[in-house]
Formats: sequence, C-alpha cells, structure tokens
Amino acid sequence: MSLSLFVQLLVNALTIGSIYVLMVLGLDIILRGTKILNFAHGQLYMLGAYVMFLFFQALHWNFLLSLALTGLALGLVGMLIYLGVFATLARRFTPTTTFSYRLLLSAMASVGLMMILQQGTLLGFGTQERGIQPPFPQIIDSFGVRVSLMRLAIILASLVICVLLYLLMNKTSLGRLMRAVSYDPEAVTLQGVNTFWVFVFCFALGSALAGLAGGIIAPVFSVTPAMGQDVIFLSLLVLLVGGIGSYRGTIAGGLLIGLLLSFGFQLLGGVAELFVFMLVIVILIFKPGGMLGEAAE
Amino acid sequence: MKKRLAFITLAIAFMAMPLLISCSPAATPPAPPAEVKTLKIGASLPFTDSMGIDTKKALEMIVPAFNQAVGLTVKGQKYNLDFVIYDDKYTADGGRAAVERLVNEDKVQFIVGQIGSAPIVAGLTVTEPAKVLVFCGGASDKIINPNNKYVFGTAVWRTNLPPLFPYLKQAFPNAKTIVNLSPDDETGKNLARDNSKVATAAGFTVLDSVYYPRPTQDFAPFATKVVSLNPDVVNFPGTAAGTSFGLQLKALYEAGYKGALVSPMPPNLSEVLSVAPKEALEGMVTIMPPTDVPNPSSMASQYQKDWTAKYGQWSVASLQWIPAFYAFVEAVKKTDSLDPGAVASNISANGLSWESANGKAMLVKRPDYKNNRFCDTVSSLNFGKFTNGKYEFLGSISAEDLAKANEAAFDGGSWK
Amino acid sequence: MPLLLVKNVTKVFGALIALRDVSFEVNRLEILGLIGPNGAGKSTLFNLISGFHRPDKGKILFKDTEITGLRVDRIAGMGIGRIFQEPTLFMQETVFENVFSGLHRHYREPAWKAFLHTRAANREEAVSREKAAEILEFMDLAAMRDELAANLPHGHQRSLAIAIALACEPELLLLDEPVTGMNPSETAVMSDKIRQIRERGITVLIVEHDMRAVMSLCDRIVVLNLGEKLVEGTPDRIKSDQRVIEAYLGKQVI
Ligand SMILES: Nc1ncnc2c1ncn2[C@@H]1O[C@H](COP(=O)(O)OP(=O)(O)OP(=O)(O)O)[C@@H](O)[C@H]1O
Ligand SMILES: [Mg+2]
Repeated sequence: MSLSLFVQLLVNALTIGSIYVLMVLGLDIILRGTKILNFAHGQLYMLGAYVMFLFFQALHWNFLLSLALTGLALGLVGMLIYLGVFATLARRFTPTTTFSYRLLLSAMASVGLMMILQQGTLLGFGTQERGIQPPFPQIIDSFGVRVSLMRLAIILASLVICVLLYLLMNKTSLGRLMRAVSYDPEAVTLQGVNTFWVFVFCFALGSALAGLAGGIIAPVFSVTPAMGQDVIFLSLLVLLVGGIGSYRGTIAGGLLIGLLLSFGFQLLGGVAELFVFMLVIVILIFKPGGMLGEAAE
Repeated sequence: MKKRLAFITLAIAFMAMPLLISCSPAATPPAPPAEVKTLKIGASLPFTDSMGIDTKKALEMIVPAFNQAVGLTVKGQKYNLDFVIYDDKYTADGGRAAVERLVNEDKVQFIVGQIGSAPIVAGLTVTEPAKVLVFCGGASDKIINPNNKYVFGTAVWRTNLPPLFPYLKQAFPNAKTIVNLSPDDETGKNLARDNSKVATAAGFTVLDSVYYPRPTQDFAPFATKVVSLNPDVVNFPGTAAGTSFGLQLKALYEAGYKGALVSPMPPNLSEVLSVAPKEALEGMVTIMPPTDVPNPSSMASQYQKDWTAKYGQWSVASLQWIPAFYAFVEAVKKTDSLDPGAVASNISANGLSWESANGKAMLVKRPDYKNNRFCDTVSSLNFGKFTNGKYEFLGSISAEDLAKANEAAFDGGSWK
Repeated sequence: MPLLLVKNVTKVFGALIALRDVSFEVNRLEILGLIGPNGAGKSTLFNLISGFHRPDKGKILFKDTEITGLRVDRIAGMGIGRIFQEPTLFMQETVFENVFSGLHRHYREPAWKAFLHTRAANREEAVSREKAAEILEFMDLAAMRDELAANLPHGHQRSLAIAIALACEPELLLLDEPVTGMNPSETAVMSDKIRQIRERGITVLIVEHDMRAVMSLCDRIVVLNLGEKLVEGTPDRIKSDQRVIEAYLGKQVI
C-alpha cells in the first residue's frame, strides 16, 4: 500500500469515525443521563443537516456560525422533544414501574418519534436530494498525497467539539452534576437538586451533538430525508461495542468502525461490512458490556 | 444496574432493527378526476429517490394534459386516465406490496412507468398470474425473460450499450482499461455484467467491478479502491442519476482520479452539481439528453418548456421513464381494446413503435434471451461528452441502427 | 413543637398495606430509633418522609410545614438528609470530590458563573473546599481524601455517605441501618459518630436491626410491626414490653 493511499484511507476513516464519535457521544449522554435509548437520534442528525443547509447554503451565513447555530437549534429541538414526549411519558410512571419497563417504553416512544420526524421532514422539505457546497473545496496535494481540506476540517472540528465536551463534563459543576445524575439520579435528588432540568439538559446536549454531526458532514454527503436511517444502525453498534458510559470506549469504537470500513473495504472488498458486524458480535459475546463500558467491570 | 442497562439496550436494539429498516415514506394517491369514464392506471415509484419523484411529477404533468388534449379513445368511448401511484421504496418488498395493492385493491389492469429492477421483478410475481399488463423501465434482464407474457421493457438500458463504447473510443482514443462502479443490487450487477461484455467486445479490458450498497453516502473508500486499480476509464452501470452519482464523481475527483468517465445513464446535472464541482464531471461520455442536442425534437423542447413552467427547476431525469406512458397509449390505440390480454398478444406478435423525446422508439425481440416476443425497446439516441460544464455533441444513432448494433453485439438472431 | 410530625400515615402497595395509620413525632436534637421485624414498613416510612413515595392517607409536617407530596429535592432542600441502606456514592470520583460536589449542589450557584470563574463563584468555591475538608475531618476521612470512593473499605464508604449527606447541612438525618454488618468495635465508633452528629445540631432518625446499638444510642424508640405502630418509649420501656418481645419472638434476642 502506497503512502498516498494509506493517508487517504486514514483521513476517510477519521472523518467517518469522528462523525460516529459525535453521534454515539450524544446517544450515550442521553442514554445514561435520561435512561432513554433514543432511536430518533438518526433523525436528529438528519435535521442537523437540513438546518445546516438552511443556514449555510440557503442563507449564506458564515460556516462556523451556521454550525454553531445548528448545534443550538438541535439542542432546542431536543429540549422540546424531551418536554413534549419523554417527560410526558415519565409522568405516567409510578415508583413501582420497573427499570426495564421504563427503558422499553421510552425506547418504543423514540421509535414512534423517529417515524414522525422522518415523515415530517418528507412533508416539509420533500424528497428532493440537496447538496451543500463545501466551504473548503480545496484538495491538498503534496508529495503525491491528496487530501480533501473539507475532510480535515471535519476531523478538526469534531476534535474541538470533543475537547469542549470533555471540559464541560469534567471541569464544570454542570458537567459533574450530569455525571452524578447519570450515575445515580436519586442520590442527587437527595442533595436537593431538581434532576428534571438535568434530564432536559442531557437530552438537549445529546441532540445538539447529533445535529452537529449531521451539520458538519452535510457538505461532504448529500442532504436527504433517509440519511438518518442509515447512520443510526452503526451508531447503535458503536455504542454497544464501545461500551455504554465510556468516553474512551465511544471514541475508540467510532474510530475503529471508521478504520474497519475504510481499510476493510480496500483490503477485503464488499465483505468488509459483514466483517464489522461479525466483529461486533464477537466483542459482545466476550465483553457484553462493550470494550471499555461501565458494565465491563 | 449498569449491566442491566447494557443488556436491555442490546435487547431493545435488536428488537427494533426491523422497524428501522422498514421506516420509509408512504404514498399519496393523486386526486381522482371527475370526467365521464375513467380508466385507472397503476404505477409504483421510489419516493425515496429523486428520479422516482421526478417521474411522478412528470406523470402528474403529462397525463392531465393528455386527458385534456386528446384522451384515450377505445371503440368510440373516450377515457380519462387516472394514475394511482404508490411508493415502492426501490426495494423488492416495497415493489411487491405496491403492486399487490394496485392489482387487488385498486383493480388496475395496466401498470405503467415503474423504474427500479428490484421492485419491478418482485411485482411480476403478482402481475403475470393476474394477467396485468406492465410497461416499465428497469434494467433487469428478468423483465425480458421468455416466461413472461404481459410485461414490456420500455427503457433503453438493456440496448443502449453497443454504441456507447465506440463513442468512448472516439472521445478517448488511448483509453484501454475500465473499472465499473455499481450499486450492489439486481440493477447494478446485471448492468455491470452487460457493460463488461459490450466493453470487451469493443476492445476494452474490464479490470474489475466495485460494488457499493445503494444507500451509501460515503464513497471515499470505493473511490480509493477504484483509483488504486488505476483504470483509464471509470464506468457507472446502474448508478442513480442524482446526488449519489455526484458523490461518486466527487469522491473520485478527491481521490485524484484524472482518467475518462463513461455512464450509460446521463447524470441529473442539477443534483450532481449540488454536491460535486463541475471539474469532477469533466470528460464524461454519456447519453446526451434530447433537450441538449443541437436540434432538439419538438416533443423534447415542448416537454422542457411545460416542465419549467410548472415546476421551475428543470429535471432532465424526468424525461427518462415516461416512454412507458407513450408506449402504453400507442399499444391500446393500435389494438383498440382495453383487454390487457388482447393488447399484450397484439404487440407481442406485431411489435409497436411510438414517438419519444429522443425520436422514434420501437419494441424489439430478444433472441439472445430466447424471447421471440416483441418485449424490449430501442430508440434513437444521442451521445455527448461533458466538457467545461456543458455537453459536447458526439453523434447520434437511429432506432433501427441501434437494433442492428445490438444484433451484432449480442448473438442470437434477428431482433425484428 | 416537634421537628418532624408523622400523622396517621397509611401506604398501600396494591393489596399490601405497608403502613396503616402510623403517627409519631421526632423532637429537636433527639436520636429516635425506628425498629421492627423484616417487612414492618421501616424503609417505606423513610421513603414517605423523604418524598420518594406519597402517602395514601395522612400528613407529614417538617418544622410545621406540610411536606406530604413535595418533590424529593424540595424536601432535601428543606433540611432532611437521608442515607440509604446501600451507600450511594459516585464511585469513580475521589472522596473529596464526592463531598465537594454535594456542597456545591447545595449552594446551587448557576453553572455558567462557575464556568466563567466569576469572583463570587471563586469565593464560594474556596468556602466549599474548606467546608468539605472540615466534614471529612469530622468523619475521620481526611487521610483518604484523594482515594476513589470505589476503593474505600465498606465501613469507610458508609462514613462517606454520611459525609455527603452532612454536606447538604440537614437538620434531620435519616439513617437506614448504619451499623448493620459491622463488628462490635466498628459499631462503637459509628455509634459515637452518630452522637457527635447530634452534637453538631442535627436530629437523627435511625432504622437499625442491631438492638444493642439501638438501645444504647437512642433517646426514644418507635416499634413498627406489620405496618402498624406497636409501641413507643424509652429503651428501657421497649426492652421490657411484652408485645415487642412477642413480635420479635424467635427472631432475635433482646
Ligand atoms: N415499592 C414497593 N412495591 C410493593 N411493595 C413494597 C414496595 N416497597 C416495599 N414493599 C412492601 O412493603 C412492606 C414493607 O417493606 P419495607 O421495605 O418498608 O420493610 P422494612 O421494615 O424496611 O424491612 P427490612 O427490615 O427487611 O428492611 C414489605 O412487605 C415490602 O414487600
Ligand atoms: Mg428496609
């Protein structure tokens, strides 16, 4: 394998991997913070791409501004979804409702939500496929290595988002509160905190991450109503493989899937995808809690 | 608690997978007209794909106009045509479900204007036993299987190849090797195989075919693979005309591909250029849209004018699948009957020709498939090369010559 | 005026009456024991007081304010702390962080201020740090302040749970089986700690199966049996009460 090919495959792997990292970090924050397995996460990703299309392509706003506003917009959407759907559902639970039942019901609600958002987008925007002109269309071509600047920008932006998220979760009292709530909401309530708003924030933050993932990849992919469906499948697998509740695991899992898809396809051809699923099954058999998840211990 | 969370998550995830896969848009049947006698015609189209949507829009434009202008007159009785269109999601399951609904609930006897091979082939298991007449696009050779009696392929995707490669040779005299980039489904596999056969006959060497799953958005790995095979030409048999095509071209461009491009199906330029820079299309040899040739037919210019007036943004892809409609109208007129069996046996035995935007089109036999019924289509075609953001006209071929070129390329005997 | 007043409280789970018409009061600065055989309804009563469950009938008043049906965090904010049977710690944080976070949440300064490191927030943080250190000192955890909570021995985890509860500056502390499973010398140390907690001005309501500890520690005792209050009084009176002996007969020697 030539150096140029290797670098290209690596850049591709990191681009796709970092999108999955953002997606799965969002899924994980929502799952641990609010105990909702959000199947509509892919649709939030899709909405992110549409909002990005609106801000950047239709209104010609600055790229970074559009991206930041996309994150905010999806955070708002997430907040409304939580207040409208999941908080309403949670109100019907009694103290005797079992944990598994709550998880199951909210997951089913999210499946319904997934369909509503999907159909809503179709009705609202039609089935027309759209593209976003990349703000950095240049190709860096040096020493025979060709790399798309846009993809590098995506990797960099994802990295920045991950660092900001790390700072939020570890260096602020809000982050500490979120972690405490995901670990044991009752204990936090006993410290006099109204955890409801923490749940809302967790859901909004997770949604914002999905929106950022969709918004940031939109200039590389096309914007279609079906794009959310394709991405949620692998995101759920990454969540399980990386391990619920492990940031390192999520990042490792996302990058691993990116590498497997990129290099696997080059070396093995079409069976690469099959290989990914087999690997997932093997990992789950030997480490049901995921590679680095909390349940792994 | 954490362990439980992981396990339940896993369980729910697997339980909900089928739901995820089947979550797709539903159909909206158009409003029924209120005229004297109405003839219901069925169609199934992928609403998940821009060409399905554009074909739906095309039918919604030309059918009312047709009703208003001439209408369909059979044995002195005038009929208004009413299209019932369902979403087939470009899948076999979706296609079968849509066709079952059309045949059993809506009781249609004619299905006109399907696109995708997978839904069409699945639908045939319903229409053939029910003796429902089908005029469809689709590239699958299962459509022209000799066991079928009531289906006619009205797209040129099984017959357009023989002249394409000579034009490729004309545009790129030094090109020798080809790699196919195709969707990993019925259409893609069949077309990649046929393309390889014809390209080889025309003196090219096909190095490999690279397949991608149809919903793919990230074409970078496929493009890198193609580029690492170092071909002179990349061919796109079976690729959807819209943004998917654009993403493939862009990925090849970004991966540093500088060779020639050839596509049996013309790209939908507005969508392709919304995702790819125009440099990425440079040098593509393809069928040239009838609206872009030096002297377009009056039908082509009229259609483009009407479309632009009605919908604004012009879609060249919308033209590709409506020949089925004109073929259907001619077939019924020629037989002067609404009995699908009578129409089918008449045109199967005697052939049919009709006017399309490209010029004359006609049914041909497929002796190479041991099918001696008039079942497949040739039409006059134009070829062009994409240069500096525009098509450069290379030449054209008549329906008769296309039939002859095919007879020579695929052995078996006379196509007439 | 009692600090806590439980008035004719009834709690039903489906067909099971977990508590029936239970009334008692907790006076300021006393250590009140709540005892009874397994399934008597002790934990249920704690759940009612701290707001996890709602009573079906009756009222609970804290400092003359009705708290029946209030949210858990409101009740906690009003000054009722609670330790579960199983200590609820944030295992992946250090001992110090566990207590410090509790204090932080108690003061509830807006997160964005801390994020921006405003001067008021900084000052508050310094005060919280001092306080956390003081509480750790008090609970004899100062030496382990940088250990992960997960790595502490069981007894120390219980101390830490109490330290976290103290960080919220409760006026009433509910302790569920604080010495169960401890050896006699550990029990003595913990009992001593509970007395010191009372000396800090905190009233203690304690559920405990270890009768020796309960009898030596509590000022008064309330006995529950099958969801009903059997009797209440000083340890000496409880020890000699015939009904209590019957309820516990064959289970434990008083
Ligand atoms: N959430 C609940 N749902 C249904 N029944 C419950 C619930 N919580 C407690 N119970 C029942 O109420 C009764 C009282 O239980 P509780 O836990 O209060 O007893 P306890 O006195 O704390 O016992 P132990 O000494 O074993 O801790 C028991 O029969 C128990 O099964
Ligand atoms: Mg108990």
